[in-house]
Amino acid sequence: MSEALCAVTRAYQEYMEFTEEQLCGRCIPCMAAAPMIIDVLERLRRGDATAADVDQLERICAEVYVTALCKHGQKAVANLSQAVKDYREAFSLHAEAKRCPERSCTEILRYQINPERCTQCDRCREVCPAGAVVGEPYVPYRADNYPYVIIQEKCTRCSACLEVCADKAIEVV
Amino acid sequence: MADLVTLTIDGKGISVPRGTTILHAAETAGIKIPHLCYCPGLKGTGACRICLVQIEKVKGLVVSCMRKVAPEMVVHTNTEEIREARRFVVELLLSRHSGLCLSCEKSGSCRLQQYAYELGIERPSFPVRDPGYPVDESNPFIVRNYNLCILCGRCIRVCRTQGSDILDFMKRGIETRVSTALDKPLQEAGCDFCGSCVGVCPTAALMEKNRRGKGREWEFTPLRSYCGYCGSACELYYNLKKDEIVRVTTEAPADYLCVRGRFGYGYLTSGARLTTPLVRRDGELVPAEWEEVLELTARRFRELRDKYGPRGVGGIVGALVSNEAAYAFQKFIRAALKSGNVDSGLRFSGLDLLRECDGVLGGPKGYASLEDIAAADVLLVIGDVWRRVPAVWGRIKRAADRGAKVVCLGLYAGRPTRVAQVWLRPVPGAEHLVLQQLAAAVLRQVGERRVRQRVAKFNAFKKELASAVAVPTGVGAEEIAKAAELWADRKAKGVVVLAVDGVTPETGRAALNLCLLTGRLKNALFLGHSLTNAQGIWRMGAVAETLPGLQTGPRVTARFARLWGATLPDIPGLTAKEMLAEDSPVRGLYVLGENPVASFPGCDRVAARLKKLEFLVVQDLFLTETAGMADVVLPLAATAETGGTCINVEGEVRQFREVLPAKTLAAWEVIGWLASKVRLDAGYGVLRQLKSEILTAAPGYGVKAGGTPRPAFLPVGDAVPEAGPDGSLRLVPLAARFGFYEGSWALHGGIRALCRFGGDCVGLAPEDAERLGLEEGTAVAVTTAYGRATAVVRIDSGLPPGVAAMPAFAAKTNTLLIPEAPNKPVAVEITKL
Repeated sequence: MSEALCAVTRAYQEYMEFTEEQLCGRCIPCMAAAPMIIDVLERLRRGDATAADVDQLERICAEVYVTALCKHGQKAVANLSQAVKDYREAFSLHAEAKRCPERSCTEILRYQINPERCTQCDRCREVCPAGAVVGEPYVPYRADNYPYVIIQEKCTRCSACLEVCADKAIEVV
Repeated sequence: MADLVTLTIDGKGISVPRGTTILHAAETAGIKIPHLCYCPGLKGTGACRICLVQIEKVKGLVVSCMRKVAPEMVVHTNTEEIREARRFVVELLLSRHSGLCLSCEKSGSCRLQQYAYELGIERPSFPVRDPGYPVDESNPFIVRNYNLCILCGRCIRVCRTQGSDILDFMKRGIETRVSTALDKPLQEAGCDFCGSCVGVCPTAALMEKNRRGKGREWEFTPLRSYCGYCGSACELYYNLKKDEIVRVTTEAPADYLCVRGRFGYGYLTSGARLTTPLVRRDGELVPAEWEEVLELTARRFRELRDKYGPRGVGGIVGALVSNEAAYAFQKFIRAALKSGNVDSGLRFSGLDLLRECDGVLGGPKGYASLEDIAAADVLLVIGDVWRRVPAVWGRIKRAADRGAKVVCLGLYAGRPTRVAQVWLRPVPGAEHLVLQQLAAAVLRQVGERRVRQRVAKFNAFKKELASAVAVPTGVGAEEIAKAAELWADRKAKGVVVLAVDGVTPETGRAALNLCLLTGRLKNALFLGHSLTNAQGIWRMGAVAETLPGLQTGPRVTARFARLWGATLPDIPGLTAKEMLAEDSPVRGLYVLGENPVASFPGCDRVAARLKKLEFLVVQDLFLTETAGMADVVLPLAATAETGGTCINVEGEVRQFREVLPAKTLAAWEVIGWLASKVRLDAGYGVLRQLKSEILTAAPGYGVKAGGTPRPAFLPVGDAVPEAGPDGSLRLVPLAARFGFYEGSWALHGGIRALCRFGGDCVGLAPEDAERLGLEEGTAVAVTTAYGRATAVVRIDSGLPPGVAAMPAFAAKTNTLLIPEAPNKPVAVEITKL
């Protein structure tokens, strides 16, 4: 799996660190907005958010910045606002295309096998820990050789198949 | 004034004193800034962020409840930017407020709802999450639904300021909520249900339990009156809906009421209230007509008076009735029955001490008020006064928070001892000696010369101090010295907080001497009393020695004879003590609003004596123990039904309001009717007429602003606590024990929640309980030289070893006490049943 983190994940991790270590809960905006901010970020990372959610996230951040009591709360939302502004593209991609190019938002990813490239070598089926890959190895001269497929409901996005595939037949979108 | 600050708020120029917050300044200009966490009377925290305003040349928005005004400030309170910020905060709050306004009790008076309306929030922009906290209904008074909590922290601050200090924010961040330590239910956390938190809660998170389902606040009519329980007679508002009391509120949300004031109104509407006269027929009390009963009463009193002379009849009045009732009562006994035997139950709860203190302090103007306590720098809190007059506690706490030094004298480890700098914990019965030793130490610091000039009888006082110094009291010299240092600081405003009915007379006199010693004569002694009208009853002349207005002497008697148109008996008639003595001549007795069989010390003997009467009339709210023995029982109307006045512990005349429709005739109407049957008479039955007569007889209700030019030290006496053998126990009546009031109203009125153990328990220190092999809840026999009772053991670590505490005011406790000295500890045996 790639080490690079997408902007959404970075913003999410930073905000979670704030809620775990600094958020005191004594002033209302900061404390009441936190569950909503977390919710939007989590949905973005899952691929359940829309463009409207990103707009709302920006609005919440801006308002909390105005109303929060202390600089810690203000800093947290200011950083988040900045992230949305700087990485607008990444946020839009998560919200609209439901894609995470850095593949750090695992839940949004979709593993699929390109039938054109699949040689039915069976390696991916062997390594898949979830049994999500189905297919039969290639038998020469047989008429019913079909390429392998990944059952999305079973796939855990562990990327094991990606690593064993010698033919680059597995694509992540 | 020099330090006025002029500023502009919303275009209005206003001048306010320096140090005012913008919120207050705006209020004076009639501009209301919405706020949730700020509550008048409590410190601000600036947490809710609703009261945001804009100040020109200041970056960002600022909270108006914290920001102080500055000259030339230009403030805007209602721009679109501010409204947007406020709207956002309210929307956020709504996102975690899962309540349904449609069915909410607080609907119409909820601040959150009001602001949502004012800011035009039509539908929530955020999804609503239910926090899913369980609703706590485990106590009898308060329902806590933290799903509706907006974490404004008002309840926490009010609990810290004047309550039990048990609430706080628990956890952190998103999981923050208000709770007690370890999430214990209130009754286990040490709450005494003053209900201040309910009073300040802006939503329905904290609600009175009894109020549920009884309507919305716009349907209630709040009627201002005074509480009728203890001597402080706190101001309160009965909120009525169609003649039913639905809730009790205060003028400002953070004003203090105790559990009795806020939740104890049930006695007024209790089904157990007497509403018709009862008469004894074939040994049974049966309902009868007023006419018939009063005819019988008048005839019997006439017969007894003719047979045994005027000394054969008498009357005892309780200290919970109004001035008017007490006045009419004593007039009836004196002018109509022509007997001097009129007295009050106050005789057993500090009447002499009250009179002595009043004499030295020169009338109520010299008493300390509750506000004096709050403003004091040094407080000397004696005994369980904070339970007898609960309003005292809030003031002590406020003073302590402000930095006042508190010295506590008492054996119970209660709340005042926690805020005290010095806790003097004597062996029971040595309280006055500790005060004497304290006085000796103070005298050494103050110097004799000036005291001798200022206060008379100094030599006798000094002699008593010398004899008290060496007596062991259980209090170390170090503590005495520490307390003396605090008290000897004559520049500090010092107040002695005393419960007149909760201490021995020696202790009370020693406390007064301490005030005199340091020149604290004016507003330095708080004369707390458990009974509402303790001050009024004796001023109205309902005691054996004096006529209304504290007047005595042949000329006064003659004047009253003219006023009442009757020949009057010799004025010092028999006191209650003498009337109830074994060999007293009294054969017929009229008892008004008093329950001697339960509330007089040595009440077993009282019961035996009452059985020997030929005729007993009892007029009371409930069918009390005494009423159960009576030949005629008359119903009594409560002060909240008939109006009338009382005089509270601060010496103020308080006018009760007729809040509820009367369940029966007013006391003076009954007495007037009765008087007309004994002797043709007028001038009792109509309240207004009675009041003007009282004002003639006792100008200003006898609240006189006299004054003693040169006060004198009072003799304290040299009573020394008897030292029993090791391991022996002393019985002490203690109001501080077992939580709530144990009074006849609560008991008979069916407000069981107010008397948790029904006055049926004996408190022991854990050590003693272990030594005696007793456990919590063991049934025991408690025996003193004066009586025997059964009780249930309650182990209380607040008690010192060697003390058995029983609730004050309870009948069983009174059975065991010395009839002459109710507050004196007695040797007691406790055996397992």
